[in-house]
Amino acid sequence: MKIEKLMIPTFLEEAKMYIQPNTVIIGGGTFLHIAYKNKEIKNAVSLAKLNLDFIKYSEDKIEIGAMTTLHHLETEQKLNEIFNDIFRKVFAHIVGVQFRNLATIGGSVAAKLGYSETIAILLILGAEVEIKGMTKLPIEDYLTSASFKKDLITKIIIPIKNLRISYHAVRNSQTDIPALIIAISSDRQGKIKVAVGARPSVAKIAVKTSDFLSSKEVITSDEIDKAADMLLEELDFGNDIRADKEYRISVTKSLFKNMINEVVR
Amino acid sequence: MKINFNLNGKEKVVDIEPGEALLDVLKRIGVSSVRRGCETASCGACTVLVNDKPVLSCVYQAVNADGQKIVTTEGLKDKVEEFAEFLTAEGAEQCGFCGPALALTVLAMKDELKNPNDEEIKTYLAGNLCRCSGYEGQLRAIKKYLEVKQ
Repeated sequence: MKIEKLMIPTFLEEAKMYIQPNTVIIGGGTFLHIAYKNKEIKNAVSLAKLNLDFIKYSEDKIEIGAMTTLHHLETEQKLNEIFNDIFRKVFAHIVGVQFRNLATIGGSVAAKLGYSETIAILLILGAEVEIKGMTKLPIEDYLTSASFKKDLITKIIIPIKNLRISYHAVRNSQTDIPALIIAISSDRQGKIKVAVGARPSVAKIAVKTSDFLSSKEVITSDEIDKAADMLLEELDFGNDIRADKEYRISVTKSLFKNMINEVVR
Repeated sequence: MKINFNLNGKEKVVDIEPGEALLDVLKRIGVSSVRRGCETASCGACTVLVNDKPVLSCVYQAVNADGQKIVTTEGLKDKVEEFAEFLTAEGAEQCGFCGPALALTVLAMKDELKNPNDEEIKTYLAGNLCRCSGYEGQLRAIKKYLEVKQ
């Protein structure tokens, strides 16, 4: 891989000046040498010196700098105490520790990859994405907005809530990319969020299913069956090298029923 | 462009290309222990320590090494040799290709995890693939090594 011109800004305003529509933004860089192997990049901007590696806690939210690594989040005690160990449990299975010491939360979101476990988790936690230190938008809007596809993520903001969380990633082998991801959260008011990723497309919230479940004071097994059918109807499933559509549908149905019981129990 | 870094205790000034991976730079300046494996961030054979943390040098941007402390097995000779004796005793050294990366990751794990159980060891080392599939022997050796060292 060759980079003709690499800029390494040290403050945000400088970074904004360098970023043009064709600029490649380098975060953790774990995907760069694979995506651009034997290719030439004309202009690239590295975020390495922007001081975006931080975790800040306030009363109602946690702000995570875009360059914070997955291993940092996995081993951050306070964050895991707040969210029932979810970052530790999920990230511990992403490739290896050597990879997670490089891969960043911002890069994981910006790439909008179908198999991103980070995105699935952030969706059910109700996270927001901050762009260029100014614009904030819900992660589900960021994922569907083409205009932000190559923009500079500065931080991820997660509201602090008391959540019950159930998470499952189906893999063909331990460190492989997931063939299916299901993440569900339920807050104290009974608001439920169901996200499914690696379908193989990028994770998204099943809005109708989530709203249906959230509207029930008590969820019966008939309603769980109904919600499972709704989920499969609402989301698109497809084939790729790791699993076919039928397998994904079948496993989603079974897993969803078990997982929803975990969060509404 | 020029970068400065500390390699195994010695200051280095190296000319790099803007897109180069640290693996390529280390190979070019004669570091032989770092393996060129899959080059897709999957196998772990290219592991080096950057500021004491294991990272994949095949995807680590060399430019980010500027001002950092880089350690390979050449810089931890005594510790690596001591660990290698445990591997040998369990017949776990096999072809040796993954050995340097495994040793560095085990040394980093020793500093990061206190008294890890089998599952924690396996999880920490999941990114170190052994093409001889000598995992059971490695696990026995690592546990015995940690018993002595922790």
